[in-house]
Amino acid sequence: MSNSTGWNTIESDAGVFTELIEKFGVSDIECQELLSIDANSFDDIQPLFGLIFLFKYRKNDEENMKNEKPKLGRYVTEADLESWGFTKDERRLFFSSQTIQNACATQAILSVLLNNVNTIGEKNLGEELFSFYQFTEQFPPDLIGEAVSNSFNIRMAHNSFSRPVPFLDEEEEERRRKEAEKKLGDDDENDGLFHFVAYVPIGGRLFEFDGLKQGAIYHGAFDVSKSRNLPYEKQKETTSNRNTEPNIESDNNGLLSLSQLIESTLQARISLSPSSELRFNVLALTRDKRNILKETGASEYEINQEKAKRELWTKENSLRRENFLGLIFKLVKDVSAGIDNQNEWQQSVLEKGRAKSLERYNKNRRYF
Amino acid sequence: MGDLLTFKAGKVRYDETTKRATPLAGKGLVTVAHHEEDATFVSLVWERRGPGAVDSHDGSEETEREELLLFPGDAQWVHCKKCTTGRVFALKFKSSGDRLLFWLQEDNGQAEPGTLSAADNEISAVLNSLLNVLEENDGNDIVMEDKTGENTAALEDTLSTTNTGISIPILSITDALPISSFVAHIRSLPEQALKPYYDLMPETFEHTRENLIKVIQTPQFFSSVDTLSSVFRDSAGIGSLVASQLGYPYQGEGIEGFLNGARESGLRESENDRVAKDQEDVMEE
Repeated sequence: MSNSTGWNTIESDAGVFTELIEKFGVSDIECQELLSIDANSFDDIQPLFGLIFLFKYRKNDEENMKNEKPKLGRYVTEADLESWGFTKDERRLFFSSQTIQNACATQAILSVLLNNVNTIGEKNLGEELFSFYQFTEQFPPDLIGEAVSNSFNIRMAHNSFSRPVPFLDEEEEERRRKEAEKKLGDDDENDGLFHFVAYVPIGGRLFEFDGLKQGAIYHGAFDVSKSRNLPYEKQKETTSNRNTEPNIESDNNGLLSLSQLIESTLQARISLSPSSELRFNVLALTRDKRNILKETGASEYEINQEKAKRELWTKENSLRRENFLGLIFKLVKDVSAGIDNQNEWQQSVLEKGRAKSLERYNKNRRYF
Repeated sequence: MGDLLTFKAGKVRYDETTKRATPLAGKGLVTVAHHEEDATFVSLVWERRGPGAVDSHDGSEETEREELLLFPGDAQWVHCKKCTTGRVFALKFKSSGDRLLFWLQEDNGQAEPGTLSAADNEISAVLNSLLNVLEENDGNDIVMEDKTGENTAALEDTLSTTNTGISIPILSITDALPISSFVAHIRSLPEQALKPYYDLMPETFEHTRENLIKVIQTPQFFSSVDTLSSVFRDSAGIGSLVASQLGYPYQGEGIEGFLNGARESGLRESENDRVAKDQEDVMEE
């Protein structure tokens, strides 16, 4: 695995994403899964650096997704950035085109992190990502996408979550992965592909970063004073006294809060989906809850709960990396040696095993 | 992996109780390929061609796509010679005695609708070689309804299910040794015998019997056993490599080779332990 250039698939899970972000060298950031997509849930995430919206789509929906023109919102133009009065820093919207299917979780995470360079700060972002951010400053989206997929450190962090297949040499493993990738590409049945899209509030406005599109998509302004979950006060100050225009989603009576705008944007997105049963998942990036609890002087109970959550993540992630070869072999060896009667071994293990395999195989045949 | 064979064929419904076979009106396409996930199987997919048709018999919708996983040596593609109004074939399963019927929709270029063309025979030959069929069966035991469904003929009772007792190899380690057998083993051991197992657990878990059982029952452990099974199934000739790396006597290929080898190694270990213990006892006496 170490020398190959491929990207493995990783599970979209808050524990995996948090550890992945930490492996990028970022500190004080964690990922939280949201169980519902209403404004109240988003309000509870404080601060909210951005969301990763992930969903499964079918291969035949892909052309729709690659549509030049977004069905919701519109592409950001230079003139927009001018008229919104964005600062120099805010004007750089970090957008990377998706070049590798399996890298798209990492790309969505980077879209949230690197569009929050000011709010997260250079120190917490870490040297690795900050220099990557600087390195790609003049790059067009496709080149940034290439830079992500070619980054050795980013790929190593990403691939560290998958379990090595035992006994297969690199060539064979590479072949298997390519086949799996091809299968994803070929998909025409129910399995579908996962796609990750990032939503990030910048300068009092909501943006979408979808690597299959041409650029960042604008979803409207929100009322900064009504939004309780913006990352740090700094952003509030810089955006509250700017001119805001009426929101696409609301009437002239006022703007929605960030959470309300996200809710309506996601709802619209889901209802647009060609397949009626869109399977989706929403993950939010926020600060490390343990640090927040420490700062706010939370109770021992709350702190312990957070500790337990982290320990669980660590355990789950360690299970994801194991191929358990040693343990499997020892169990098989000891359990089977426990059956020392050759006849019994033939009958109650091997013969029974064949029958069970046959039964499963027969069950797999479905017809008419 | 690419498709190995495609041909046009419609489905034929077979009614167990009335023993009647009715060709369905829909146009279909059969695609045969190696199964993507597990090369042990051959995948046979039937899917509709063109706009959907409705079953003439009861008006119910036909399914758009069906996939069958076939184990080489089990299924056989057989021409039903008694049907002269069309070219009907049966996919017969030795393991279960089931038959699935298809009618060929390739142009046969013949005056008689039931006559096979050279291309039809070619399809049968290719398909049967993919399915590892050794002997030819004439399939004389199936009588067909006319495509209109009017001139029906009873099927002979030979269509009844018979199990010819075909044996297939063990396809998964857990088919022979289920996770529950591992758990029962761990529960049965005295505490001092658990140490070597603890050392094989992920470091993040504290060394307790309950944690060990918990780990063995995780989906990650199960999927690792499954991956190891697939290594034996898909990589022909890997048995001796695995044996030498894990240090057990090679006992053949496949999952059975692995199970027998691991057991042999375990038996030798306990024999050595016994001998060592006997010697200790002798010394003490």
